[in-house]
Order: sequence, then C-alpha cells, then structure tokens
Amino acid sequence: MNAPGTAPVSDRRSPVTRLLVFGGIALILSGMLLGEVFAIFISHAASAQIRREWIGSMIPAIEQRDLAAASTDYGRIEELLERRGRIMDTHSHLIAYGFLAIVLALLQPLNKYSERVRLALALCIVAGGLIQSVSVFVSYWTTPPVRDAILIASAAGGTLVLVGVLGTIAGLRGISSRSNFNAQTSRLLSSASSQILLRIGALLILAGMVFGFYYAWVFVTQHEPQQISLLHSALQAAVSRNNTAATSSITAHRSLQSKIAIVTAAHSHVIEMGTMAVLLGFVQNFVLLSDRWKRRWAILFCIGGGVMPICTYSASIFGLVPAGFADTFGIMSIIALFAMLCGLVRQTGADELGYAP
Amino acid sequence: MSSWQRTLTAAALWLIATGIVVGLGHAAAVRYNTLPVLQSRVYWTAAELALQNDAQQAIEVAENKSYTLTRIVDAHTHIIKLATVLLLVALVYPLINLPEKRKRTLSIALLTGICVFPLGVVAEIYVRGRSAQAIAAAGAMLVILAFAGLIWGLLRGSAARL
Repeated sequence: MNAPGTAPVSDRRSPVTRLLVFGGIALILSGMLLGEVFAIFISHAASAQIRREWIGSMIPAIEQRDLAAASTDYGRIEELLERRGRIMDTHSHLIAYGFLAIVLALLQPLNKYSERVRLALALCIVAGGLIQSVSVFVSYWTTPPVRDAILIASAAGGTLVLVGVLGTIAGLRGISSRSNFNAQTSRLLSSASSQILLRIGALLILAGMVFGFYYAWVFVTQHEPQQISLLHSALQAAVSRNNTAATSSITAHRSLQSKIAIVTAAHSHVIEMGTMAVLLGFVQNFVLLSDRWKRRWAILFCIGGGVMPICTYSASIFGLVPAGFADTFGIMSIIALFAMLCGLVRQTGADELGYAP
Repeated sequence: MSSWQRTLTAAALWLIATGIVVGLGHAAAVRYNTLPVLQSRVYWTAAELALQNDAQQAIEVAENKSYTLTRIVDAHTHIIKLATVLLLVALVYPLINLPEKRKRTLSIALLTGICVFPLGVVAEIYVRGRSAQAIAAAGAMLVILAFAGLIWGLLRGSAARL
C-alpha cells in the first residue's frame, strides 16, 4: 500500500495515472470526433428526412385512417431516431467517462491501495467506459440475438465503471489529512497554460449553469407545453382531414423539437468544454511541449470551447450558417486536444527513456 | 488533503455512483431504447389513438410519458455532471482565496444544491405543479450562487499567485 497522500510527484506519472489520463483524453477525443461527424454529416440530413416522412407520408396516412401505411412510415422515422439516439448516447457517454478517468487520475496519489489494485480499478473505468459506449454505438447496426448480447455488454461496461468508482471511494477512505497533496495540486496548476485553462474553464461552467437555469424556465413554461399543443393540433387537423393545418402544425412541432435539441446541446456543451478546460489545466504538467506551445494550445482550446456553444445556440435562431461555425470551432478544440495528447505521448516516452523534465 | 476536501471528494464520487446506478436502472427499464426513440413512440401512440377518434386521451398519454422520460434522463445526466464539478471544486479547494468559513459555507451550499436539484427534477414526475419545480429551481440557484462564489475566490487566488 502507498503511504496515503504522501506519494511523490513522480507517482503522478505511475502506470495507473498514465492509463487514466491517456485513456481519459482518448475517450474525450473519440467522443468529440463522433460529435463532429454527427453534427456535420448526419444530424441536419436526418432532421430534414424525418420532417419529410411526417409531412409526405404520416399525415396523409392518418388522414386516410390507414394504420398499416402509418406504421410503415413510423418505422422509417424510428430508424432515423434510433441512429441519432445511439450516436448521441455514445458521444455523451464517451466524454463523461473521459472526464471521470482524468479526475480519478488526479486522485491516485491519495488512493491507499496497491498499484495492482489501482491498475485494476483504472482498467474498470477506461475499459468499462469504452465497452459501454462502443456497445451502444454498435447496437444500432445489429439485429437480435447479437443485439441483445451487445446491450448486455453495454450494461456490463456501465457496471465496470461503477465498480471502478466504488473501489476508488473505498481506496480513499481513511487517508491522512496531513499530506502534500494540496502542494502538488498547486504545483500542477502553476503554469501559465494551466491558469488560462482553469480560469476560462471555471467561467464557462458558470455561464453554462446560468444559461441552463434560464433555459429550464423557458422549457418548462413555453417549449414543453408548446410541443404537446402542436402535436394535438396536428392530430386534430389530420383526423378532420385538414391537410394544410396538419402540415403546418407538424412542421412547427419538428422545428420546436430541433430548437430544444440545439439549445440543450449549447447548454451542455458550455459546461462540458468548461469542465474539460479545467481538467486539461491539471494535466499540463504531463504534456511535454514548450511553455509557449502549451499556452497556444490552451488559448486555442478555450476559444474553440467558448465560441462553439454560442454558435450552436445561434443555430437555433439563424439556421445552418452558425451551425457551420460551431463545427469549425469544435474542430479547433479537437485539434488543441489532439496536440495535448501528442505532448502526453512524448512525456511518456521521455519518462521511459529517463530524460523527462 | 483536508478532511473537508475528503468529504467533498467522497460525496462527489457517491453522487457519480448514484448517477450511474440511475442510468443503468433506467436503461434496463426502457429496454435500452434511447430517448428520441422513446419520445417518438409516445407520439406514435398518440397518432394511433387519434386514428381511433380519441385524440384527447392520446395527447394526455403522450404528455405524461414524454414528461416522465425527459425528467429521468435529466436527473441522470445532471447528477453526474454536477458531481464532476463538485470533484473539481474539491481538487482546487486549497487554491480558493476566501476565508475558510466562507469557503466551507459555499461548498456546503454547492453540495446541498447538487443533491436538491436532481431530487426536485424527479419530484416533478410525482408532484405536478409549481412546488416540485420550485424545489428544483431552488437547488439549481443554490448551485449557481455557490459555484459563482467559489469561482470568485479561485480567480482571486490565481490573481494573487501570478
């Protein structure tokens, strides 16, 4: 067992910490890339197709009271929504598990368990997160009974992550109050790039919280009741064979659903980019790049992370042009994150060769 | 690490574990279907019932199910995300340049808000009306104010170090 809380700085470069930091950033990077691919190539086309299905097939089928035709049309809509749901779930879970892995990496010096046990717990987090997310993603392209097996694997992945978290809680129990952990944390955050990421990240999280509070009020008082009332109007109009009114209501319903999805994405992305910035602030010491380049990547990440959610929100008002900007700024953050990951790999190599700073 | 930091860290990890359990339980309960599909099925049920000339009942069913699904998924995501923020606060706690008593008060408020907010969101399923919404809003407001106070201390601290 470690002497709790007294691990030297070099312990932060132990295999367990490396696995969690490297695994965490890799999970986040994969999640961000998937999000970009979804936003650029899939989301808009799928939304337009769902709207076409509703207007071109569903409404006429309801008007004709043709349940069989309506069922077939609905099957196509559900297929599109299924793909969206699986990709979005994979995107958000990969990133959330990445965050968890990096935070747990920072707590490793306080874990009283042996390196072997900590390595097993770290594997639970990284492998569990990967298994859960990949299973959710792959399940879309499979059919029963393979699909059932994959969904069980997804649950098993989630359970592994839970085991990793509970094991870490147990490992942190009874640690000494007198430790140099805080001094090490201060040292980790002492560089200019860390300070930039820490400050901007904290402010982004706060901005996301305030925006979320505002939007929750709008959602509960306006958007949620509107959704149902538009659906009601559409169904009433379809049943009474008023095609124009039904089409207009269903178009408004689809637009509102898109708006809710976009605004919710803006809210969650601000907080996620903020959280990521703070976490990256902690790992700057692991990044083997010059201070000047670390600062540049930190600034690039913060610009991308700060502007991307604003553009995402603007897309709910102005349409596709700001959405394109959101994608561009998202890519900026991904490039910065990838650069930091390269620095991490260099640091690992330098550690192994024995000339790490 | 101080004992209060340890408490915050343990609380955050327990909240994350709770969020994961909620997620696993919900996923199993809805047979691993995703939120867009579940909500769409709710609307499809409404359309089917409308075909049988019972649009009003259809809308009520759709409204209730959509409302419940949204809140469960919201509670799951918010517990985990806010717990991650709490973990970050626990890590930077010594860098927050505020009197110890104020820091502790703010972090207690943050922890309380993080627990109350998702509970309020879940309560909205069972208690319709403003009371559960008010609890969720109070929790969220507590989180925002406490976090703003802690950030203020953090920025002061980092300005002092530069």
